[in-house]
Amino acid sequence: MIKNRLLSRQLRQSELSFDSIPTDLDQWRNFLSTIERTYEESDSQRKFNENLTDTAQAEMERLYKILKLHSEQEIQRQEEKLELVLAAVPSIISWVDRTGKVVGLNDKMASILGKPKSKVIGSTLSSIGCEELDSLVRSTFDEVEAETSHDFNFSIANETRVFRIILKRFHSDEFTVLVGVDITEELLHQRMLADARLKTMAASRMAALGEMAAGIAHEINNPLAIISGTAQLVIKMPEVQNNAELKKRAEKINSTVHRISKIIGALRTFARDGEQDPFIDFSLKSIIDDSLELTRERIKMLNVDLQVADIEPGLEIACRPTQLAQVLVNLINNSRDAVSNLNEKWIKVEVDKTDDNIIIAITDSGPGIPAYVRAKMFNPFFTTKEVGVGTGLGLSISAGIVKSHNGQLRLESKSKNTRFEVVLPIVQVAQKAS
Amino acid sequence: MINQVASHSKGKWSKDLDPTMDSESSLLLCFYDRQTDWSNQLREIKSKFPQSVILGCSGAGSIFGTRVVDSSFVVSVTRFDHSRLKIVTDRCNSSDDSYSAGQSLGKKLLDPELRSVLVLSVGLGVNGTLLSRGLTEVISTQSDKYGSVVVSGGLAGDGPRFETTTTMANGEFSSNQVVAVGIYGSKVVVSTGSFGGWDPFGPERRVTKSKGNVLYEIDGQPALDLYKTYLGDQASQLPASALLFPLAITTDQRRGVVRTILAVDEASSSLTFAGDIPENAIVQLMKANISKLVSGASSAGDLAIEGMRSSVATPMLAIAISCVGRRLVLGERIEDETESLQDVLPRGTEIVGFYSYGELSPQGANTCELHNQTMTVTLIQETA
Repeated sequence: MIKNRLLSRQLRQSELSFDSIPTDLDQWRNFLSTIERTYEESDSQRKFNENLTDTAQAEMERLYKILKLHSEQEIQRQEEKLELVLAAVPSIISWVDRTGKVVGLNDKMASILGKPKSKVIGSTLSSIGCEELDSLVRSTFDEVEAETSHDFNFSIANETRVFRIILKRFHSDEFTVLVGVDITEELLHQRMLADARLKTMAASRMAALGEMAAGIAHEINNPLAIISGTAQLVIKMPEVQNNAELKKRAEKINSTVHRISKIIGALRTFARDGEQDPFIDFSLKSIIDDSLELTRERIKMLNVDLQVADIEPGLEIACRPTQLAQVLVNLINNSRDAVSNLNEKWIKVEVDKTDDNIIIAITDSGPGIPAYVRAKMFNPFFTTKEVGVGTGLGLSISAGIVKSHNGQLRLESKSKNTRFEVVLPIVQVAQKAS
Repeated sequence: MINQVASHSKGKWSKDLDPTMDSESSLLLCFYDRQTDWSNQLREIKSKFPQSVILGCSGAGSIFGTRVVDSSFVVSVTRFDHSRLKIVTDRCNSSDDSYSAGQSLGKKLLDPELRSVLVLSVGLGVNGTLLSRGLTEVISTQSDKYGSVVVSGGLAGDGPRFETTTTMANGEFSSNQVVAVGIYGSKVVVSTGSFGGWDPFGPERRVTKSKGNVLYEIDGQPALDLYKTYLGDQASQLPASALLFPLAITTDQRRGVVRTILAVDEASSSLTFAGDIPENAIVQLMKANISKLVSGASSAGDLAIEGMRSSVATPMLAIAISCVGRRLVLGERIEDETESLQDVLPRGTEIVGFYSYGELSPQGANTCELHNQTMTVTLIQETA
């Protein structure tokens, strides 16, 4: 039985079958030529398929080469484009693998690290001296959140720059990309804004105080003049001249009135916003005296011993006198509050002079300032006083005023007591130039 | 409607044709090889069927039932009970005549009762795309008014030789003639199905130089050189062997139209196709395997059966027009595809046809399009 469909068909066409073999030569020839055609066709098909396979393979290889070349060129183009973009971005960018090795970075990052890119790529951050950053980057692989943000300090050319760094894992958490933006200027700007706000607040307070002081002065000066005039008349009366006790009391009235006038005068001066005042050479003693005049009475009431060292009478300093008085009043008042509950209560005001600077020191009997307070005491709104007693602005504003005088307000930490020093140049730079 | 088919081979008819089937509504389709002189057989037929409409064409083999025969004259006789016929012809001396020939045939056939057109064209010196376009433009006006008209047919073949093709109308052979028969009446049901089975392979390439249906360059290289590379030893058998690699053409308007080669010109390294190859079109070589071609034939039958809509019953005539390229690939196994077609048609369906240089059948919304490398089946039936 013939199962093959083609052979069955060919036998039928030759009028043959499995049971009916060729009986003459023509039948044999006819049948054999049919079979031969099939063989030839099969051979031809095989050769065709072999050639087709070879051609297709050659075609494939040719296309592969073209594709490979195009891919490599495209990758190179993309890499160059990426390099340009990364170089143009004003951020630091780097990506690090799970082992902590730097896989890539932009020029800005290389510049911040102070190393050529070739040295950084393939190294860990710790191996190039960035242990802290290395530890921070590696920690992101353990974070639950895929993206975290940190403020990080870089020391660049002896200057500390603050970068806000975003760390984000990608590629199935196999890499972390680091993108950092320099926020130093932004922080400075924020600080300046806060300072400006403080100054505005202080200025408005001073303006209110100034108005009040002017009003008081206006209202009190006339009665004081009457009291003073009357007291002088009383002193000149023969009965008083002849009575030592009466004369002493009348003179006391007169001197007290004089003092009230001085206090009001000092208050008016103190309450002025002196920021726009020009720098002038002014008697330091006079500034200190005015400051003490405003603080002395309360110090006395609290039984605090106020010790004022001798001040050279002709010593002048280039300053805005009103602002400097504000600083001294603030420091003296702080000392007064600090010692008010101590057994030993004293405040010393001293002046020292170097070739270039004048140092005004306010020392009190307090035991010094704890470290945690020291770290924050110049920050705006920081206060250790009870609510309603202090605003937390005094030291901050004072530091700002001294800075505007090109000086420094500092806590002398070596002293066993609390000692603030106002260090001021005797001559301002502008004056030096002139 | 009744059918009868017979084949003349080796000096004798497979059976005697019944002359009582002769009538003005009888259609005789004849398919033959061009190299044999069939004058006597044709004369005999004409004498037996003097009133009938007789047309046919040469092929690269004729289909007689499931058999594919060479050196034979295959005839089908179909007598319609309720339909009438009209045969028309036009000259096509060159590709440039193709469009006007199509229009001329369409105009001659137009009639409100027209339901189907079977077109047989010479296979060389014709642009099948333009022929079908000319015909479609006329017939579609008819379809819009009076309902759809099914147009199908094919381009005559000349074995693997590509030398001369002929058509025959009412007993007259011609090498520059397009012949068509219109079938009129409400009882006739005609459906077509067309399927390839070839797959695009290799890289997509761009046509960089062409004119009409002549392709000169692909990707800046001579088109003939590319074909020779793929054909290897078989390049010596061009243009027939180029049928092993038809082209899939994609333009802005059409995607994946298949075109085969009709001629090659060594001097200009050009290839002439059965239809247009526009410049800038994307082309891709196609290849086939035997299994896909065979199942493609049955798919064409399935599509035609689906299109019948009315209950499918015999008697039914199946006109199978398959591409010469398929014959080249299938070789000795060529009858696998005719048997595969028969398997899906109703038992008793008479199958005749030929291997062509191009097939014509509806495509999507178009009334008629040129196809290449397909098996295209036209089923004809009359309802009671």
